[in-house]
Amino acid sequence: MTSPSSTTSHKPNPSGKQIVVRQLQKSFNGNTVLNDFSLEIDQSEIVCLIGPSGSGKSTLLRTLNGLTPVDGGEIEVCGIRVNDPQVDLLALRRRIGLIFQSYNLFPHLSVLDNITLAPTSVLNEPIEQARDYARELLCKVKLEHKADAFPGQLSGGQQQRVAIARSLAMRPDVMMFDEVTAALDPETVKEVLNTIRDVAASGMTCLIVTHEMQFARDIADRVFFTDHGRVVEQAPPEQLFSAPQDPRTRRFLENCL
Amino acid sequence: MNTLVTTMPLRSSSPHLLRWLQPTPMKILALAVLTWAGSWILDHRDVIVLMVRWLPALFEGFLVNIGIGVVSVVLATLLGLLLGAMQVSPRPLLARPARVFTLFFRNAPWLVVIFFMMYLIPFEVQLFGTYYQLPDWIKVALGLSLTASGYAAEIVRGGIQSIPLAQWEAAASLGLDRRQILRKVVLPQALRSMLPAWMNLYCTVTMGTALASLLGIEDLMTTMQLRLAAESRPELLLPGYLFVFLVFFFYIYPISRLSKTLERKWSLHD
Repeated sequence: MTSPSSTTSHKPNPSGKQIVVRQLQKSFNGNTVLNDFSLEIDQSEIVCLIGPSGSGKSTLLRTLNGLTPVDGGEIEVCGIRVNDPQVDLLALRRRIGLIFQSYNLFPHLSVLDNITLAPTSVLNEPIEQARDYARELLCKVKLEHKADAFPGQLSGGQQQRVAIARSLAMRPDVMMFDEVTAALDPETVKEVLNTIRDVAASGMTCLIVTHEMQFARDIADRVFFTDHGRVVEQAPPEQLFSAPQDPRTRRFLENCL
Repeated sequence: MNTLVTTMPLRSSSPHLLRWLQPTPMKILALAVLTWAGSWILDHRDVIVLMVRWLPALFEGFLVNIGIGVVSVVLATLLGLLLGAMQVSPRPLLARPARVFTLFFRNAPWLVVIFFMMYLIPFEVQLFGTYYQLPDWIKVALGLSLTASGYAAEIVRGGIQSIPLAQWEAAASLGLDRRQILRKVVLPQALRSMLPAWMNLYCTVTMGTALASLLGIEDLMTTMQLRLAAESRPELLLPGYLFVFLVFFFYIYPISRLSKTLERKWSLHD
């Protein structure tokens, strides 16, 4: 894949980091979900978040693009301070793609229209140009023959790949994947993971929440283990999976490997 | 007909006919009514002749009803879309006035609102230097559209809220703003669940147009009233108004049935 970020103007970040999260606090109705959560991600880095359900991984992704407001701490994505009250959320979201577990394609639009909707309405791309790029992206997720299908006619794996193409059409700088294979049957998991591999190989900064340990081990530059809303341990995958330092990480990995 | 029924092997070849002939309370009632109506018509052939002679004028009157109904439902829909979208806004400055407006007109008696509009709106308006006279039926349509817009707003709000939050979030994550999400993602999907209720609203508004007769507009009711008054024959009153009833019924019933069918069909697929 050609680098999608080459077409967007890139604001250099003073720290040289694509994503900076510091001491993030978030609770829902007195239930602490993120507790002093910090992480930093370089440009083109592939980071996987693993950990038990309810450890705040999904909430973290949602705070990064402003879907969920935070109670405290700092977030900076692509040089945009997300928790600034004056933040231009639309400009922020143009630069981060978020892929959901439940795909969330627009059921009333064809695959092609799903992909061209945001570029034509947000970036004011001419429709022909948007369609050409959408077809190109569909080729990359190996669904070029489904351009005129509707989401309801596709399998879960196909829908998820369309969702990825739809996000890429905005030429984001960062892609976030929120347990994107959790709702899929084992056979289709692979095709989606391969698509993510292609995206990662294109030099895109990727933040991936996953329960697929082998996948995390293969793809990640760094793996974060989270529990109870904080980072317990972070390391390159070989180190984290072979020689986890924290007893909590060890226990988790023993249970799922 | 009878010979056909008895000579044919009923069970195998014409189950429909058989079922159709099976007596049910409804059918017996309908048969009785038809028989009564038939004998009444035979006794009062002059009434039928009279009605047929009035038919063109009555038809013109009913066109006024349809006109008022269509204009008010179109206006109510536009206003309802705006109010419904405002009601789901996160900004209280938009949501609260819309809620108050909706609540007010949903609880206002239709006739009272129509009378208000009748005397509130001047009989002519100035537009680009020229004066235009506002016909009374337009004023009635405006009055009806105000009350109907309260119901339309509720339909729109319900339709919008029937779309899962995940659709909003997916669209927002792509950088679309609220208005774009509403217009391009949520409303197109909500239309489906809104259409049956909207058709019901159209039926209700069309029935409401009969109120126009109270303001002297020459709709179907008024036309019939005037003709009946001119004849001054009390035995004509019942069949006369029965005729009005039937015209409204046969116009509205198919729409109402279609809306029920759509509702059932679409709720099955979701």
